[in-house]
Amino acid sequence: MPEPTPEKQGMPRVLLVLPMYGGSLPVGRFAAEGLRENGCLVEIFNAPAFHPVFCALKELKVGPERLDALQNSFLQHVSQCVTAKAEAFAPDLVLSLAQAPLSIAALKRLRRAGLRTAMWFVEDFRIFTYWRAFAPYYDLFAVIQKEPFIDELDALGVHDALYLPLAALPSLHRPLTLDEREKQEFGSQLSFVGAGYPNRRKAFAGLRNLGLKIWGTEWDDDPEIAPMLQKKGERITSEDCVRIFNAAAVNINLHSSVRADPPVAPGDFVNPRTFEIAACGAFQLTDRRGLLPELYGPDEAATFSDLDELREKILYYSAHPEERAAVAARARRRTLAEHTYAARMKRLLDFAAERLPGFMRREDIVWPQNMPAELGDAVAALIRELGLSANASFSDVIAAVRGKSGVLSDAEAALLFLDEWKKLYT
Amino acid sequence: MRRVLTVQLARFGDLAQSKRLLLSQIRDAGNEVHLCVDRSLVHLAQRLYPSAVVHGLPAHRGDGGPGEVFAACRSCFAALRELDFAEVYFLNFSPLSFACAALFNPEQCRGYARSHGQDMRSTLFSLAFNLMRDRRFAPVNLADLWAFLHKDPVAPEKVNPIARPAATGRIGIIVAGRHARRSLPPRALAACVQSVFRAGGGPRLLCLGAKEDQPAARRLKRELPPRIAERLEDLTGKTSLADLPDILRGLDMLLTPDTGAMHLAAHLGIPVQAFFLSSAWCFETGPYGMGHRIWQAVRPCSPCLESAPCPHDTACGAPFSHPSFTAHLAGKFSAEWPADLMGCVSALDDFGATCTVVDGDNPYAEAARELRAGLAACRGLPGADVGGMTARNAAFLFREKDWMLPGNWNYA
Repeated sequence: MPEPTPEKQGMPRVLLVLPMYGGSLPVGRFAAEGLRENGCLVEIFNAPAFHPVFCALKELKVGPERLDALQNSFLQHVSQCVTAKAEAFAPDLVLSLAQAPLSIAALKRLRRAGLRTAMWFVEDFRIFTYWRAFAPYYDLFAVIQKEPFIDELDALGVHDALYLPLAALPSLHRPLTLDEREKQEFGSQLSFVGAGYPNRRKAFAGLRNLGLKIWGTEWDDDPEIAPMLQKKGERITSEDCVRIFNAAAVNINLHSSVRADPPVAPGDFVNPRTFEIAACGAFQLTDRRGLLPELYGPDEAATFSDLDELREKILYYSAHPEERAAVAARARRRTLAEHTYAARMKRLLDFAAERLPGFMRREDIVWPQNMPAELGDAVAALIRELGLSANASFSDVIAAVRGKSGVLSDAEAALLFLDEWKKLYT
Repeated sequence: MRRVLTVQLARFGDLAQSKRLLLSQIRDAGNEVHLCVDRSLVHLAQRLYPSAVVHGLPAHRGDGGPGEVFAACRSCFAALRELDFAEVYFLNFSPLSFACAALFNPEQCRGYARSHGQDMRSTLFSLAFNLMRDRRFAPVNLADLWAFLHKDPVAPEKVNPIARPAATGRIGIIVAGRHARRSLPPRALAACVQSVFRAGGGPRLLCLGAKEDQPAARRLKRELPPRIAERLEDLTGKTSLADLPDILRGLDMLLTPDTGAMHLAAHLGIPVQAFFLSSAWCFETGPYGMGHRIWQAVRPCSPCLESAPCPHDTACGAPFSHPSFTAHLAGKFSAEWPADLMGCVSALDDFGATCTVVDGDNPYAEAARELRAGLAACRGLPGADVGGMTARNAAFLFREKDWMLPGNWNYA
């Protein structure tokens, strides 16, 4: 049986609140993996399960004011589901991804209940400006941009802000050997995966003659793009993205902009695709971003700053496969060393420990006394079976057992029984 | 052979109240009936239900520490899982019960279950919780509610024998229940004992209870006139739970608050004179069967919430020492009747057990009758009346979600 020692603090327990939809949704799922890799006990609030209801509201054909009111009350209801789950799970941290359905009222309630909250705002602060209203209600606010965002947060009274760039998940974003059918389906000389933002439409219209294949949504009404569009503009799964990255000689990574001009717009934050392609050991040409140099050196990233440079480098790297391979290998090494979700989540947890008084100071780490040795073995087996860390406390094991669906084993049910028995009688 | 299990982890009174359900299971041809109870109640359960296989769990506070509880629990769970039950009935809304339910598929479970990691209650028990929003109108005895988890419960008259005195000249007295507020104050109890003593022509009195009831027994003795006190034998703390059935079997009558001993006496067919006050409500947990008397305090705050402090200094205990009531208990005519008291006889109908008010008024009788008919109608239960589902019933028995959303889990 695990022996509690002074340094054993129990597993950090995180309730991760996913958004209902959108680009931050996969980031949330990857962050959950990163948290688990850090020995956290993670419970996920699966907001996408509520998305169909939201869609149904939009088909009501009522006036816009009524629809607004209904959508708002729907959001409040989903927020209450989050708070109920948080109160039941008793996490050390409630971590929301951008657009997670947590109202200000819900955030206030969590604060009153003594639960710590953090937001990983993986959006452009200049476009998604709602952070001004919400940030003060989070205990920590992690962002993918630096100044002036951090200063602006500070001016709002949000002093516990953290620059936390995006990352890759090496268990998913990895080199693959594709079979012939996959090469046929996903292979290309030149690829792009992403949504059809105005700047991308303009940038890619002239690349048809270079063999560009485009995967992703929101392109379908553009006649110039249509011949290049793959899979009829369907949404591409994370797994298929990895196949496409692996199967392309050159992956274009052009950050999105809501304006068509300039097609290669200046910007600071670095998108997830940068890290994901790099982790795959695939080659990418990415637009030059303000925060890129501190993440990847010049020999780890091939960049462009306008369309002429993009075309020129496509031609150059297409003709130099060894150079592509060398850049890609260096980028993968750097990514695995520094830019994983596990590393990001470690940074976030460290920051929480540094900034939140009493973070992870639990009173429930003590194991029941007089546990016979043979049963201690059974509990240790359960800890291994549940994939918990050696730091698992009694309440961590209980929380993990409670989180399981389906019929429990004798040992699991007996542990739940014992937990309830303890609450009643000790 | 088909195995069925009932998990009853509450007190021994609840064990006796599970009788209609268990008899229904035992009656069904091909069933092998199992019962899981707190391990302190295994022997009693075997005596109450000799044809059932009884399993013990450490559900109550006992001598063992957490390690021993875990070991005993795991061993019991392993044995239960091996038995591959067709149905498992969970009767208690308690976290311990839900932990047991985690061993079984929700499709096997009746009453309560755990589905996808979520603790769930069945449609019937959801309805019961709706009823508890206003207990004054309680239309169903708990023993019947549990029995209705079975598709075809045995007839109410098959549950307990008609109560008859043992003709031994002994009257038993339970001085206190588990909840002090639900027990008669010593002076009121003494007044009642004197009345019954006179009416019974000076019987022997046996004070029954656990060791912790000894102070109450001594107080009672002090309150009694010497000639009655000398006829009282204080057995509190001197007998065990295992002795109780034999002791009760030898009584002409048992005076008691709402206790496990009351249900055990009803099980044995020993007449009960039961005092219900505070949070006790005879329409929910009155003695099952014919031949019992129940004296129910009824104030505007009755029945109250057990866990909430009483702002009225437990005024519901007062009518039990009212001279007109004690005269009535002694078998004398009295033109008066305490305003806050109902005198009931236990009764049975097609649906189950109930209490018929014969002294005083039951201000909630009509609403309770209507709900009883509604409950029978909506569950297709014995005594169902197609006109039972009135608009008032529909609003009270169900919450809006019950009508409009798919049931969480529909097994019984």
